[in-house]
Amino acid sequence: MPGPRRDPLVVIGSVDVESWSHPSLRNRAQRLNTIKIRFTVDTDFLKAFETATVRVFDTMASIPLIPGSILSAESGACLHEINAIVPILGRYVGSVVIGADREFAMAFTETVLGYRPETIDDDVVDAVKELGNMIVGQVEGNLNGVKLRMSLPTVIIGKGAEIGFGSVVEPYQQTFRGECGSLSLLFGLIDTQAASNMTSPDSTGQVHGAAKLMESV
Amino acid sequence: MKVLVVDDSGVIRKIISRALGELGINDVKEAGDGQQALDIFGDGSAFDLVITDWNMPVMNGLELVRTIRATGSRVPIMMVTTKSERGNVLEAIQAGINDYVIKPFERENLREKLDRLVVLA
Repeated sequence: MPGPRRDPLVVIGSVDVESWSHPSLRNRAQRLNTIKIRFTVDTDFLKAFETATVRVFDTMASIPLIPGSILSAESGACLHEINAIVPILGRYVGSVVIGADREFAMAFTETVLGYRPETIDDDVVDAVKELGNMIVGQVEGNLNGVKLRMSLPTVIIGKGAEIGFGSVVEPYQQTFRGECGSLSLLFGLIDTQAASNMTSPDSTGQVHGAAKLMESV
Repeated sequence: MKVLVVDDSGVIRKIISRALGELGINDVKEAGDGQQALDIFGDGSAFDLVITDWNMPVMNGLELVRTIRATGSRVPIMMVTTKSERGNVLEAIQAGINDYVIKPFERENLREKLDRLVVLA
């Protein structure tokens, strides 16, 4: 007589379900076909981007920025019209998207070049791309030994354009306001070190420091 | 005086050219990557100063500096880059740069550094 049927368990990420200490979660997990894990990033790390963003605008264009809170993003949809995607490698892997609304991008370009572009031309695209370079470059140099490498940015134009960070990434966003408009950072990153040290979830489903149990199918 | 400005960002090339213009230097050639810069640079005899970014497609700024120095040219070279780690600065100095500016920069700072290099050139 065959024993009770056990559904196959597919785990995204490095999780040893049998070691989970909380019995109800362990039992739940054993009944599931799929456990979906989303990797999170320490928001203290994301704060470094806030500092860098404020500094870049202050230094290059004397534009004061007021940072909003770092929030969990519902998706990878771009919040603004002109967006520089900066690929990141090293301990943190993924992308950071620096988005600017039209007026903000035009005003920044005007400040650094000394004339106002008539439309979103190559200068505006280059300016936003360079913003991405400078913000991530600043962070790269201020992480006290944490390895972070950026690749050349790509610019996409279109508010709402969806960036596919992948289903295991928990995206975050932060909006900044200035006199001439707004700017946003969208983060789709995995902290590879924290992910490799992932612990079993607590009673709320949180996995220490690296990921959280999002949903099960 | 003739200057070669190398950066894949057109905006940064324009900012630097503008700063050079404020110093009265208007004979400026521009390149978008290291390889393009080498093609324009030729034997180097026509240029008094090279200003280059580090991160660029095709050939990066560090390779450009090494290649220029390998020809025996002693033209002053300034690197303008987002790379701010001490190790990066040392690597660039070893490759043969004369000055290093970290982006973001204040226009006034850039102008002061250019002013000093122009005297060297």
